[in-house]
Amino acid sequence: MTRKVNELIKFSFFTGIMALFFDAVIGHGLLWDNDPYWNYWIVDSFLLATVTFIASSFTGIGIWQGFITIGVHTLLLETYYDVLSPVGLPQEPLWLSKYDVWIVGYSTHFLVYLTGYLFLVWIWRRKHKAKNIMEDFKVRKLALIIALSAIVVLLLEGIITQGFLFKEFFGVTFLIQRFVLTFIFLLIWLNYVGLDLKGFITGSFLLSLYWLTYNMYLGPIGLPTSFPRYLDYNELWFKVFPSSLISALIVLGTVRRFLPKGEKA
Amino acid sequence: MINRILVIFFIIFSSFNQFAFATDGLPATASTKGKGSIVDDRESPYNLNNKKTIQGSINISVKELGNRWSQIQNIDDVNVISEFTYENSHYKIIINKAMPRHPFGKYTTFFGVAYHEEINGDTFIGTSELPKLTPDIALWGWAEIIRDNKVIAKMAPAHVKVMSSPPLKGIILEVDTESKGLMEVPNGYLTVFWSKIDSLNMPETQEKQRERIGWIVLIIMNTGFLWLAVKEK
Repeated sequence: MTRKVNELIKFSFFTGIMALFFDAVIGHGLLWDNDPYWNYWIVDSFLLATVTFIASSFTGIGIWQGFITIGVHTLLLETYYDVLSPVGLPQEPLWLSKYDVWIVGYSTHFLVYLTGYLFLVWIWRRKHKAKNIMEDFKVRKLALIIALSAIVVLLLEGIITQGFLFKEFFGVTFLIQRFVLTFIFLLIWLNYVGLDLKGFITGSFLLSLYWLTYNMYLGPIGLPTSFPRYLDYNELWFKVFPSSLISALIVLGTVRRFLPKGEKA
Repeated sequence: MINRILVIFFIIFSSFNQFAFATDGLPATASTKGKGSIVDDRESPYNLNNKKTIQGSINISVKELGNRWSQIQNIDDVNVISEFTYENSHYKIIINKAMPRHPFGKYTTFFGVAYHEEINGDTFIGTSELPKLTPDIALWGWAEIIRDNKVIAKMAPAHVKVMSSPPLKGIILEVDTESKGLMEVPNGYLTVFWSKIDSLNMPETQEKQRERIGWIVLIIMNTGFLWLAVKEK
């Protein structure tokens, strides 16, 4: 695949972001239920972007290249956390054990980063399709469709999650946060990936993970009238995630049906 | 096609929801009773060579709720009751408040409970007078100390380690060993050690279940994106 500088910069940067997103949601969110703190997330995403750019500049972007790039990056990362840096708050350093770094750490990190890399390869190979269609799309119409979709999916998810599963209103702040997250996600997804069958299923899945990750690390419920509370592991994975996925599938599935032919990106 | 997908996800959703009422966090318990020892050293609370014999017990029940260095951090559940007789006095130590942070921010306390984490020795976590240890259970909490039915301390910093493997096999209870500020106790601290563990129950099943789910999800996602990337070429 391409080795143009602009393309490689964008690919490397977004690989760093998406690989760390999968690390946050699956590695640290689902397997380990921990958060190593901001310096880990920043250093790791920059390290991955750096390694990806250097590797891609020699080998290009592709599947076998991804296995090698991620294998080398994970080796560097684990070495970094074995000998150069602890995790946790800077003033309360925690050095990980050899088992955490080299046994569970290497294999799990390899898989989460590879997920991010392969996801980006897929997006990179198809982005021209959505781009061509969206060039003729009226911006106002796009804004309205996305805003309406975001409102409907939030209402549906709210009814299932808050109405049936929790029997608790998560607060206005929660809804506003979710709305802007959803709007931006759909804006990017419709313009660069689209809602064909693959895009619709993958988009629904990623939107659910994206919501869950935000609530896991950054977004408590209850504001502004109640004391903020972070949802726990079981609430996030066994209640919020499945109901989010169902809601996203229903709404995005409906949206793609109503898009006129040719606009079905 | 889409309808079929929705039906599949509804079925998955229904099965997911069965887990929704499972207990959150990873619980563990440990206990022992009988002959133990208490450190009797004015200088070092960790000098296990300078000790006296005691009779007593300790029961530990904890729940690890994650280690998140996020804005609102999770605080683990701890519940420890220890009773022993020392120098003709009956002591009862109750720890039911976790210590999510060290009072002076000296090192991490893992929000109260940690499983299989390296501490002491050269780790900068806890005292370096003890060798590097990897306790099955390590907990930090605030202790109430009752001596002969009289409360002598309400919020004393306490630390408990349960270790099923060398170099320090057994259960160790440390109360105010860093500042030695227990005015009504000889030497100002309590370090009680039992070299045997009667029972130890770790959440291995839950931990393995989480790992299995995580690995299955990762393999599915990698396979899925690999397939998508190959098909898109």
